[in-house]
Amino acid sequence: MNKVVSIEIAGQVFSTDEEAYEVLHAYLKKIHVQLSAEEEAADILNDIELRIAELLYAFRSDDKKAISIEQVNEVIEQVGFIDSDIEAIETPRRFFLDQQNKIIAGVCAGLAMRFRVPAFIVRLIFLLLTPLAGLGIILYLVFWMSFDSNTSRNAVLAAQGKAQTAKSIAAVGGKSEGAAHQIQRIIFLPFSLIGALFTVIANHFRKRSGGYLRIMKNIVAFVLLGFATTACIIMYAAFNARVFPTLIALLLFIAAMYLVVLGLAIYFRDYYLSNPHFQIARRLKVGAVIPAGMLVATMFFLLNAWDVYQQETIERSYPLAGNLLNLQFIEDRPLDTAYGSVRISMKTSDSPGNQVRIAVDYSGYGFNAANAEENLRNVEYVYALNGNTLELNEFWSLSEGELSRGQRVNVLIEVPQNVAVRSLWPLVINRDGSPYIYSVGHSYYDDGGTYLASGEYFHEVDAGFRDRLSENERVVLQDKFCEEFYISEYRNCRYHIQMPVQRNYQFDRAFQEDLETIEQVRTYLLPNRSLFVSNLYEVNDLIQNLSVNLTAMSEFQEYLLYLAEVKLNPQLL
Amino acid sequence: MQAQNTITQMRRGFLEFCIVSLLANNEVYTAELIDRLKKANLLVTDGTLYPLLNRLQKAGLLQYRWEESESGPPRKYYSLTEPGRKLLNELDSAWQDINESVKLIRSGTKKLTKVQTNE
Repeated sequence: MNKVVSIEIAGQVFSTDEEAYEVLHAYLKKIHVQLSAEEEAADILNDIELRIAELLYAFRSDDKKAISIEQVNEVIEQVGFIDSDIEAIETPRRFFLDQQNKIIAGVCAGLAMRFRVPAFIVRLIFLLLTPLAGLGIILYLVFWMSFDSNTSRNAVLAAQGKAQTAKSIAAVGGKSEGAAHQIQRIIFLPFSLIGALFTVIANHFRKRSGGYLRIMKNIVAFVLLGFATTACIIMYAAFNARVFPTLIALLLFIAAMYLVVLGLAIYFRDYYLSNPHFQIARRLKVGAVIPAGMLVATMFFLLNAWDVYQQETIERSYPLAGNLLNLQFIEDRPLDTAYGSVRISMKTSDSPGNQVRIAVDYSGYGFNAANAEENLRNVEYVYALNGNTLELNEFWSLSEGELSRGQRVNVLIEVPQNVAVRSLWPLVINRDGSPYIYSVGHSYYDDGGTYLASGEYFHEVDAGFRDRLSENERVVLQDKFCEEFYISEYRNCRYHIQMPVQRNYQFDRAFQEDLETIEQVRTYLLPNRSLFVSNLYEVNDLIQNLSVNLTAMSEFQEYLLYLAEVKLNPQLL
Repeated sequence: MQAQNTITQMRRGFLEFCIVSLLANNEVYTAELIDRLKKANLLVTDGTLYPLLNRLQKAGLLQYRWEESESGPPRKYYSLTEPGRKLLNELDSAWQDINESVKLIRSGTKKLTKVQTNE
């Protein structure tokens, strides 16, 4: 007795044995898998089903019996598999990704098929190799990228080294959905999820690859154009910097331009445009070696040319008549040779007398000490002291035809005590100097003024500053405050003066009890408020009322009182 | 083994030519196509034919129409399109050229003729 089932195939209804149905079902499923690489799989499958229906119809018309397993086998034998007319070809054993039994990408299953061992063992080996510096994962990725994907049954047989006949194809993969595989699917579920995720992402990129490629090409093109523009600017700057004699600089400029243009042309022709209209001759590409060689040689030459650093200071003293020094600045910049700006700074002199000391510091590089010295001597810098007026050039320049080798000029002016300096450029205190050094520099929103050299400071003494403290004076005040109430690394306090005393962990805990008073002092020093001389007395009062009894006057307090004194009685001319 | 591979390749190439030839003058339905190819020993299993027919049809060389059958499922009748006919002519002359060239070589004649392959 046999159970009979009704099946519909290509719009026709047949009754078959249950056994025959199972065989037919499995066969169609295999055909489906085999066709999965084909583009028009659905159409072809329909045709094949139609053919099967036709053949089965011939059986049905003979008698009224249900279709038997023998008849189904006959049909399968006749229809066969795609491309299965290749008879008994011995194929080499090959590695494939096994799509049927895969957990992630089918690497382990593919290896297992090739070596004819259970896939579970291969998977375990990969898992055990993973703690060894991720060896398992690395090997997996390497195999994944190097194996072909196995979508057709023929490939499976190729992996097993078997002949590809209709029967052998039908026999493959029958046990793939066994219980053991099901258990493995559960055990390796996290891995299979990772695999699914990768597949989804990969499919997305494969389908949209055209769009992404276009976006990437546009981005790369923009970046390249940006680079080229930058390169041209750098080349132009280098050309003007007099690092080389004019002729060599011109040759290098041409060489670099050639490389930039050629690189852009190759990219836009070969990778950006899909249908380029012109060809880039091979000779031009090979020719790029010469300019590239020139530029590399230049690099090595320059590295050597910047090898040794030399410095030379020329110091001169001039007696000053009277108590006023006028500082004037001129912009004398030659057009045909290299030049640089001069760093000008000032400090007060601690020696008595009426001498203004001007130290000009030249520095530069060279192949060796002698060459470096020669290079720095090529610098031309002049200043002039006429009576009380010191005229300083803003720029230094190179002698005619000489080369630029990182030369620099610093000027330090030492002013005697109690001399007023009238400068067209403002003096800005440099916090890191000890004693303080003031840099003199051009400023768009500050016009300079009159400064009095007193102690190690320069004090603004113009009308606007009679009663009010300057920014430089506030900086010194902050420094003294930090030194007094913060532990050793007071620098940190100077740059974090905005931070409340309570929150600054460098606050000196010896003043714990007066924390609020000191916080009050700090708010006086903040840069967002004007400080008046009267404020200095208020701060002094606060300091005097501290609970810690200081035997000697603190430096902070000393400076407070000194500053108030200077502000109220400037010893002007 | 090497011979077998070559034979398979040759047979595959000629299969396309033979299908187009069979459709040269009249419409043929799939089962008949299979029967005639099998009789001519060009086909072992039906499965091989379907992807090929599909490809030719997608390339615009073949067209088909459905016809209801009194006995059994509807039938697919294939015929040549205009480009298909052109292909047949080209394949035909190419085949004649090849045939002559092979004959020439196998008969030992040293006179070489240039084999023209039409695209």
